[in-house]
Amino acid sequence: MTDPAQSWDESSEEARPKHLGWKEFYRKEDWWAVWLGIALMVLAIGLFEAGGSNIVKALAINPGGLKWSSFGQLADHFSQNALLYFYQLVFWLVLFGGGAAIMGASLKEFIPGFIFLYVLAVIMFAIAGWANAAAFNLEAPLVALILGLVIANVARLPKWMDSAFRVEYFIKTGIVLLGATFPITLVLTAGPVAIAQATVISIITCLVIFFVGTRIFDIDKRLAAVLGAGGAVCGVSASMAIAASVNAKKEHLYTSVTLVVGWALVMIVVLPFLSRAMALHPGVAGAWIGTSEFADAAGFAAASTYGKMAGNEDAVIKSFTLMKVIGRDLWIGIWSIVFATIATLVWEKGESGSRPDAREIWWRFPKFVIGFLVASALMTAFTGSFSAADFSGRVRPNVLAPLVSLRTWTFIFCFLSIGLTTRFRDLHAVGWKPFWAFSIGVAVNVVLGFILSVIVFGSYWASI
Amino acid sequence: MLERAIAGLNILSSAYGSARGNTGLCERHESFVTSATPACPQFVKE
Repeated sequence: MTDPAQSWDESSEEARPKHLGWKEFYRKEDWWAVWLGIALMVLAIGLFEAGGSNIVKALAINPGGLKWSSFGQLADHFSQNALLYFYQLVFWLVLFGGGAAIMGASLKEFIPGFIFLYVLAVIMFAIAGWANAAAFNLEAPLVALILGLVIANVARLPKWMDSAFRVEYFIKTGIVLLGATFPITLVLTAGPVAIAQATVISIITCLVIFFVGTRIFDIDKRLAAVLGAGGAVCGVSASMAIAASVNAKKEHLYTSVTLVVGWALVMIVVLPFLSRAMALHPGVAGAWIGTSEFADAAGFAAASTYGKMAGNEDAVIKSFTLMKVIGRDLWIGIWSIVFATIATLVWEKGESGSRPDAREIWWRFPKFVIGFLVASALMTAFTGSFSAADFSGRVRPNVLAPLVSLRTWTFIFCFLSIGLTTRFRDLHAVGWKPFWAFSIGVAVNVVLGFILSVIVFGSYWASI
Repeated sequence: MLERAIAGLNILSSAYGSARGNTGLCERHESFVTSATPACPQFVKE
């Protein structure tokens, strides 16, 4: 993919990366997630009103609910619905491929890569639809991640296929679709609690990583800042946002990538199994995962996994979304300004990065959250006009269920893509000092998150 | 280009996300800059 404003002519003092301005609306994944997610919602509602819900239900087909016990049953399903699956593939190609192409992707790379991804996703759904899948802990998010990791590191896929393995594009679109089943009233009542809890934990975690890194291990304060943001706010995206604020080096981001990816993968596996061992309420576990994971994609993988283990994915996803998306993601612009201010006013001249600019709060604001809130408000308004009987009998199966299925597809695309893009041989080695600074922060983060989510606010998160 | 310049960036992040803002990579000094970054002191000296 080509990236505008990524390299510039150093012969001009004014040659610095420019803001996209209005182009942001079609050159950023966040906005494409908003357009696609809201469009799908409007399509589902519009077809419902026109008596055409069978169209969106057909587009949302998946074998995950089959509960098949023989290969014959599975084969029958696919042979009877082969045309629908083909239409669905074309539907996804047009939706995601169109946006990717406008952002700069090569369709020659995207199309074959996405077809490969789609086939793997169908296999994931088929596994999830096996009657004994739960008994063998074959939770689709974990299976997708592990299969992707194996393929990427054993089969050595060509790098050009990464054009189609768009982790953030898929998860952001899924989060907007999630808004359709997320009452806006819950955001308004539980959002402030999530923000307060997440902010306390983020600040403490960031300070621990920064001061352990600089005072005990004597690492470069720019690296400590990048690691602090990565571990406390939202992973590599936060690290990159802060990197320019503190004039960080490329190698600092490499260190953050390795540590964040490493720990995120560990947490995807450990948090669900730990939650199950402690029999945590799904809502409580979701809140804990929300402050313990580093990236939305990894967090949703962990949350979905535990949700399936506990038999209540909805509760885990809701509290995770409140804690991570509302409680942490929203504030990335403010963290960027805080670090820029510190680097400019407190650190020595010559080492400071960019000047604080209040516009960073908007420029770096995760726009997909706007889509999530709009989807939530829109669906809350739409469904509010129905009686309970009509809602259960007509709206849920014809509008909400297809949207949930479409969202699940985007999540599976995302989880597969995490594995398929994680080539361990490409990750840079990390020195023991940054490793321990970050890992001590992770330990503090997980323990503090557990105390607040399970002990202090446990009854609250169990009741949302 | 940024995703190819920084291996692993696309695993749990993206060069196309809003969080990146207009952060770019100066390949000469291998450091991150934005439009608000002060002019390179080495450039001014040269």
